[in-house]
Amino acid sequence: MKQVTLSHVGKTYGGVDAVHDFSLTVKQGELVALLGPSGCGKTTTLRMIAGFVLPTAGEIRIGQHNVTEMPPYRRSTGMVFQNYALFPHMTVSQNVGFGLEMRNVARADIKARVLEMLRLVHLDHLLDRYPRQLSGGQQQRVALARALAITPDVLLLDEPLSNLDAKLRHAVRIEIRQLQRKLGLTTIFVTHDQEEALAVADRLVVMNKGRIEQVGTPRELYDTPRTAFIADFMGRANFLRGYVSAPGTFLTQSGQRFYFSGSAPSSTSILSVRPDCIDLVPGDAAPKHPNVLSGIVRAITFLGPVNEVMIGSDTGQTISVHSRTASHDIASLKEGEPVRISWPVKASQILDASDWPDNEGRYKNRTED
Amino acid sequence: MGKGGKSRHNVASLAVPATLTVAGILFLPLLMLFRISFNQYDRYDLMIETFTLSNYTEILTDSFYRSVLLRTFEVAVLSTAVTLALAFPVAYFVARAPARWKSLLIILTIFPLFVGNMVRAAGWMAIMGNQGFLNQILLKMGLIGTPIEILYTPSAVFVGIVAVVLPFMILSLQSVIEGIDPNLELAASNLGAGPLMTFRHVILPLALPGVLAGTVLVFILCMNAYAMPVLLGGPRFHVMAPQVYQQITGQSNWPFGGALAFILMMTTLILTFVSTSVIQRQYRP
Ligand SMILES: Nc1ncnc2c1ncn2[C@@H]1O[C@H](COP(=O)(O)OP(=O)(O)OP(=O)(O)O)[C@@H](O)[C@H]1O
Ligand SMILES: [Mg+2]
Repeated sequence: MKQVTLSHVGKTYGGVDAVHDFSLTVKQGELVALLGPSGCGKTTTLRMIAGFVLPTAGEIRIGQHNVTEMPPYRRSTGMVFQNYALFPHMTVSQNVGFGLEMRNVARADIKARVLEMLRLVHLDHLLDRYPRQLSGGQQQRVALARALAITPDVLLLDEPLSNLDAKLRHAVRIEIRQLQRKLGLTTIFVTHDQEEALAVADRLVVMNKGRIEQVGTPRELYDTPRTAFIADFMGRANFLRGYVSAPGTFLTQSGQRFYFSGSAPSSTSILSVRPDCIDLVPGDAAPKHPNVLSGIVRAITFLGPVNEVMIGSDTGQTISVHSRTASHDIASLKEGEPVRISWPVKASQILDASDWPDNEGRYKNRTED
Repeated sequence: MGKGGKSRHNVASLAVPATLTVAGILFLPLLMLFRISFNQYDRYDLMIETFTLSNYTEILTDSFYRSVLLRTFEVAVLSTAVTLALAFPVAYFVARAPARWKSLLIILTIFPLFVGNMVRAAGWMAIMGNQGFLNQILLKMGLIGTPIEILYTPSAVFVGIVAVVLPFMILSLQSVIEGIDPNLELAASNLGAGPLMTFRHVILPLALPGVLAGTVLVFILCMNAYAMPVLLGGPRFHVMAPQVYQQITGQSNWPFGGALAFILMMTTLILTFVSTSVIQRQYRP
């Protein structure tokens, strides 16, 4: 396992940037998730590391080697494809042994290694099956075993879980994470599912339109997103447009005053507050937190452990609140009735509004101007 | 097995008239010819209704016809092999071409089929003749001093036949290669297989149904080639199909022509069957 370094890597297709000025170092044994909306360049980045796509700018290093122009079959990257790409005319063990066969490993050693790999993914009882005789989850594991059999310098996973059902996805991602830890695999994991990325990654790279938007640990990105885009992507945040009127004070366009801690850009900004940080204020009790907003309950959606309450607030904007099903507050709530909400000072996050696209449907809670 | 009117609503029964018609169209002429091949030729009556194997024994013991059969076989095998080798890269290229180019490429591939074989043979004659295009060019370039003989050689026939059958091979291969997930090639290369190994271990085995279909189709076409051997091979070049024609229309010897046709057909069938089962066995996973 080796470290992977991308320096100012770019790829243009007919003048259009698929990936632009991408610099990142994935440390040995680290699992980095590439995250971003469809078409942001995740697959392209991964394919440049594997060697399927030649970068139009920059340099890629695996360990000490500059592999930028090296054909894929000379590199040692283990790729798991979204559709698994198992060879349909080969059995499970032939699939897993293919890379070793190409490396002219002795037959007996191949056999032993194949068995070892299949034990690792708990499929050693299906050696002679063909891929079409396997379930999606089993195929996924064969693909993983095949990629690992060649002891690659880096493991590359392109949305490896997207073809599995929700429950299996959950189990397999834990398995992949455990395996990655156990074997100390340098891993790059592409996904567009933020929950998945938060669950498996040591570090996240959020991409937007071919560029890196922010890099950090899951916690950093979740707690201190740098931009509205990240905040939105990391979990549905509520956004209020306005400006910082005094240190620690934010004034919305409709005149409400909210408080935040820490520094913030002074120009036009966005105040973001996550649905799970907002409390419902019961009846006419005093609000627990200094930030208070009132509105009308528009809809209550039961989501299992939490209820999502959509509130038409006095700012003219719909605010989403996640209230625990177990709490009493939710029981007394009725659609169409007035409600007050409040959140702590430290839950207010002031974000740069410069990348705030006004007319893009992706941002759900847009301020109505 | 509802015989009679019980299975009125059986959809399959609707297909019966069409199937019978097609079977009739396909097999009736063959049956007629087969029957005729056991008759006896007569100089005055042309044909005597009887049942004799003499036509067959005559062909199989005659060294001329044996050599014609062998020559036909040689030409067919060689043409098929070369066609396969030429068609594979082209078929791959077409199959992997971007969607907007693909239909154009396919139309270009089948375009030659819009013109009959006779006409194309004539075209080749204009190219290969002593005063033909090719000799003119070679003379102009000073590569040769006097025109060389290209037309009326086995090579001319060979080129002509390959040109005729190429589109069939390309189409058979292209349709199968198109069904091979391009990610499989990437996966192979990711696992350390260079282009040659990827071809050998992934593309070829997966394209095998197309290879078989194309090879069988092309081999049959080559065994039965008519226009190219006659027009490009000249009077001394003999293969089976023109011999059949010659016997039936030239000599009016229907029984002998029929027997020749059946030997040609049986040889083709047996060779096709044997070769496909050998190839299939070799590549069975
Ligand atoms: N071969 C290609 N030719 C032209 N444009 C391409 C090609 N491959 C990718 N692109 C473009 O590059 C951009 C990035 O594509 P990429 O496949 O990397 O996105 P992605 O982040 O993996 O998206 P998704 O989540 O949908 O898989 C897209 O706008 C895409 O249209
Ligand atoms: Mg992708």
